[in-house]
Amino acid sequence: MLLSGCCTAKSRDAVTEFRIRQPEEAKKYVYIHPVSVDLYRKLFELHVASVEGVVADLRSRFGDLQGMAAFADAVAKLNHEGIAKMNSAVDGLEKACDGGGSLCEYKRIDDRVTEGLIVLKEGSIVQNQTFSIKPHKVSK
Amino acid sequence: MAKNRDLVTEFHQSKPKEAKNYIFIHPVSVDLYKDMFNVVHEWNAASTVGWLKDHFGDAEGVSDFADSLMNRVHRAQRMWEKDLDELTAASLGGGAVCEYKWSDGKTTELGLIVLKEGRIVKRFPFSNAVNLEDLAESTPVE
Repeated sequence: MLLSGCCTAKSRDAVTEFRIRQPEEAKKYVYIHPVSVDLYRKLFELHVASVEGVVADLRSRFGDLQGMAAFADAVAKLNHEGIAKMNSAVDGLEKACDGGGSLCEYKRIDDRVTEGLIVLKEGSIVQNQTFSIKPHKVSK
Repeated sequence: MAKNRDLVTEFHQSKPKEAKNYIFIHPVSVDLYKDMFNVVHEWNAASTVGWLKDHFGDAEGVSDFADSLMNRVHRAQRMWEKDLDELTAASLGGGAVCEYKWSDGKTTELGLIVLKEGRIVKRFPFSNAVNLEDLAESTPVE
């Protein structure tokens, strides 16, 4: 039970291999860390529960107002669709790990700062899910 | 990061009995976890609150509820970031923040730990993360 899951000791080598094979591109990465998708799934699950609590609260307090039930349904639907989209993205990353890929979190800086998850395979990025894009502020 | 991986090995060596229940321990950055708060809030608290006020704002209590909801989202975000900042602070001086999955065969726990000098110095199971319901009754409108 030392280290297991999508990313094992093999994954550590995947990062090194990427840095060796694509040194110019790799320079833009502040970090690349092998990770598991499990924590992301857990976050999505917690978020769904949290918003469901809000929706239930909305229904119990104001359900008698005309149109409120439909509005609560719409919020719940939007929440589920958003998280389903996230889970689907993570499913895609996991699938891309098949056949020796390694899932990693990353932070990349060029003219902007991007963060997300990538799958490395044979020294290349075969899948990328960006979660955050921010402008790169260069201090003068 | 190689040093951080050594911390995981060190933990397994110095606390083998404790470590055997860890399915994985991976050194990570907390940056992406911070960003994930906004990513998962794609249901968009601000537009929900705006819609509530626009359409039901005249009904008794709705406007206060909407304000309270927005306030809860902001508080939850601050608490989430504070929890993550505390992990980072605890890792200073030679430690590392790591994601983990732990199980005793009956229950499974996921979250972040800080490893330092072969032991866990801080633990943050995600099940302990604050949620909007936790803040429901305690939040004054800002």
